[in-house]
Amino acid sequence: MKKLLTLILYCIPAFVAAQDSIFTEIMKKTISTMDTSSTKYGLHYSANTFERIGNTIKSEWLPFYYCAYCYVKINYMVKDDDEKDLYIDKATDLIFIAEQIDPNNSEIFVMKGFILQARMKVDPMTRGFKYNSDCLSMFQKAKELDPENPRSYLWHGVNLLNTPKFFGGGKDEALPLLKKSIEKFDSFKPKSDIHPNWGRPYAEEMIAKCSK
Amino acid sequence: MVKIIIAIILEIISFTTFGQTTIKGKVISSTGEPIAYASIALKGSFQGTSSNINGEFNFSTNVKGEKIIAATCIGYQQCEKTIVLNGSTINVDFTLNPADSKIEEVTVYAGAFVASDEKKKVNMKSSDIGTTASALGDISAAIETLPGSQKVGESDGLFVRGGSGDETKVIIDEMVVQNPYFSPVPDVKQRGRFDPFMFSGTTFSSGGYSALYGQALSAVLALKSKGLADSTNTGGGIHLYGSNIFHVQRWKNTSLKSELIYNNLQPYNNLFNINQWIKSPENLNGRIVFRQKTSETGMFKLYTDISKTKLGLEVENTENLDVKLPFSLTNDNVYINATYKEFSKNEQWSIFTGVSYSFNKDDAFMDSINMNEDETLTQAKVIITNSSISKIIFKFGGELNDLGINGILGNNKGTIKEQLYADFVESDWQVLPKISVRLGLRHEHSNFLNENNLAPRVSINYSMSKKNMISFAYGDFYQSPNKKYLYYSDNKFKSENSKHYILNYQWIDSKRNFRIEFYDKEYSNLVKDVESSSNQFNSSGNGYARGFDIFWRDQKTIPNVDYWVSYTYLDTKRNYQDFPIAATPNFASTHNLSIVYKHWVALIGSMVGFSYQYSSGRPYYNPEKPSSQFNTDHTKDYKCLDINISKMTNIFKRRTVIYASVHNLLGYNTIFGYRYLPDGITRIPIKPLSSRTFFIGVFISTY
Repeated sequence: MKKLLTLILYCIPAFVAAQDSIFTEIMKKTISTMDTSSTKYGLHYSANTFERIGNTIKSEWLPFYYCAYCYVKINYMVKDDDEKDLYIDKATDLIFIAEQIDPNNSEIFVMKGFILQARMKVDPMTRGFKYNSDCLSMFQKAKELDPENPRSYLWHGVNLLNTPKFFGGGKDEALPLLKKSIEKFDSFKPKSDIHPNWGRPYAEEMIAKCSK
Repeated sequence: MVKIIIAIILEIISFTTFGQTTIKGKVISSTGEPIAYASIALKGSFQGTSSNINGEFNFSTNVKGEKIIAATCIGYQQCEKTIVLNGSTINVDFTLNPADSKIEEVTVYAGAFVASDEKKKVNMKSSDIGTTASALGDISAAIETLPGSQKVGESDGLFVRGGSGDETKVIIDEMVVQNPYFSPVPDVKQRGRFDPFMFSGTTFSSGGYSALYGQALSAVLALKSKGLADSTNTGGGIHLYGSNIFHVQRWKNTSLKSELIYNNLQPYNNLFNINQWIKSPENLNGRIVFRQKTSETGMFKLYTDISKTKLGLEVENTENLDVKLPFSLTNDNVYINATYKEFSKNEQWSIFTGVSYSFNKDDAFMDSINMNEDETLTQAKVIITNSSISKIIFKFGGELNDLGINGILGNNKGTIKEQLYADFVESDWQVLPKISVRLGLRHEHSNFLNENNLAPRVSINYSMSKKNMISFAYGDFYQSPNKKYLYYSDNKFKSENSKHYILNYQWIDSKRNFRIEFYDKEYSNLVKDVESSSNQFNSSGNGYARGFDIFWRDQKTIPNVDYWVSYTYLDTKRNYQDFPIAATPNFASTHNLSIVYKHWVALIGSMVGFSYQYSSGRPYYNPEKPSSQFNTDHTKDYKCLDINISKMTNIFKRRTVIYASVHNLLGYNTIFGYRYLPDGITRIPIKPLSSRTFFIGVFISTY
């Protein structure tokens, strides 16, 4: 026991460094698996890996954040409404854990809005009214926490694009926000290789859709 | 911190030690199906894998020694096993049990029609009520398009499977509402007092309902009010019958809504020349809805509704056809409902407490004869729920009802004082993965009748597959006789009793739903006239109601279209009240059909819909026939087509809904029954005041 303790104390600096590099390496690998996956299996595989990393390290918000992101993507791949809700519930639980670890993080608020948006899409007629204001306040909060985060403008824009004109949405309202997100993407530097850096191609796609 | 470091050490060791162990196996569910995408994890390390589409997995690890391996998957409980890693291949299979989702949320019981905005598999959503053509925003009118209930155009209440309107109770947040409808007016159906948009969930139980409720022989309409208001909002509306204005203030954990409603039918009656009214109905209504979130899980709700209504009309005089009788009514109504619910820290226990107060005062004159009645009901209720045992939800509690009624009819005065006490236990038990059972027992004690009753309730649900289920329900139900009999307290009454047997098959998809239900209801202890001229009654009446109903709803096949069809077949006879023989009561129709159709037209941002209702002719008493043929004549069939359109738009950047509807578009001539003159030959048809009814309104809110 004493030996082990000495070993641990002796090795702490090395281990901390090793921890960082192993964590970063595994995260990088899993993020690239996620980004290149077009199948349910690939996304589930990534989600499961993220969750294992998160549950082992416990003090990092990124694994839970990406895990939630995977489940929102999976939700868009399944057809059954009940199944969609199961994945959205899971994503909601995961982003809650991420928020506990890092309470005032702009990216987490974007993800919360992104999840609410997925929940609305399951049944827009009955859920739209209920969740939309919450959803918009998430993007608003994300902008306040980090005005340079391009994803908050992107998803706010997408939200308006999906909102009928007579409810105050539509292309004309969405376009300025989407364009602003591109501006922000241009100057955006992620904090590290494994910090969120997604969404730009989708923003361009949406701008093209508006210009049609 | 030390824990994390140890985890990292293990991680590093695992990367540096030689000798790999291969772990493989299969993940299946407790019903034997392979589980895809389950996560397999070696606890305390990053290592693991996912099962493939056949439930199989396979991975290699450098970790050595005794370790815990866990399999998890969404919708299932985690399963852990201890294994020893020593370099040789290990086979581990996992069997996962379904996650303990709250049983009541996944099980559809016989008899119950659940409507909610939150639950996933539901037949109806609360918002559907607002867009059903025949409903005009009235909850009970929307319920009338569901199977089991039938349209009775001239009387209040929900008539369910051969039961009269007063055999259905309306419950808000577990608390009873004594006067859910505006005061009765001869031959004019009254609307419900409650706004459908204040509820997040509606459960319409057309039979076999929970032991939590009593004093209803036929059905229960249980409404669950919304929690905190979404946001601060101001709005109002104006329509052909009146107007309303409201303000909602939302704080972090508190919300308060105040609303003022004023309705007056005078302009409408002038416009359409409806001249039976001496005084068109005029109603002033104030509401306060208060919500306080008391903790992460606790909620206090208060609902207050105060209203005053005045009206007067001319009714047919069965003694002299040339002179109509004036009828006038002033009604005061107060309803207060306060409830509080909180969970224990581990969320295994919850306590619900509630108090409700219903006060209703009718001052009526019929041909200058004074008819006054005031009625006060105070109810207190406690429900304790425990879910600490896996797969069992256990509820118990009690309620106290204090009822006082004072009536004056001309020179006669009467008083009813009743204390009704009830206690109940109920458990929902997932016996096997595919079988769940609800067992309940309710005990009621009536001071007035000096009587104790025990009412057992049973419901069994078998899910053949995810989409197919069969359920059976049995229940015993007691209800005190109608208050009009209780005034004659020198009679010895018993509680009226009904027994329900229900068999239900349901196919439920996320956007389509088919349901067929067979029912048998046996009535006993119904009030029977011994000598009605001297007000002598006893409880020797009996009867039955049996049949089946079918429901089909489809929101999938045609894009942007939602429609449902309900059909109820009813065979019922009773020997009660003044019936000379067992006969079908005059409110019961054998065949009942409802079709509701809604079409979302994106181009104009409008919901367009219609509903069609058909009921076969209702029996009426023809004095020319011998008493052996009592109630064997039938009115002509009831048919009604309603259409509506609601357009959502923006006016001055405010959310605006324009709503228009026509009731009985084709102007079918409706006759509910006949009233005979003393000569036994001349008869007056009972008809609605106007054949077509129009509605148009604009509702604006800032949110």
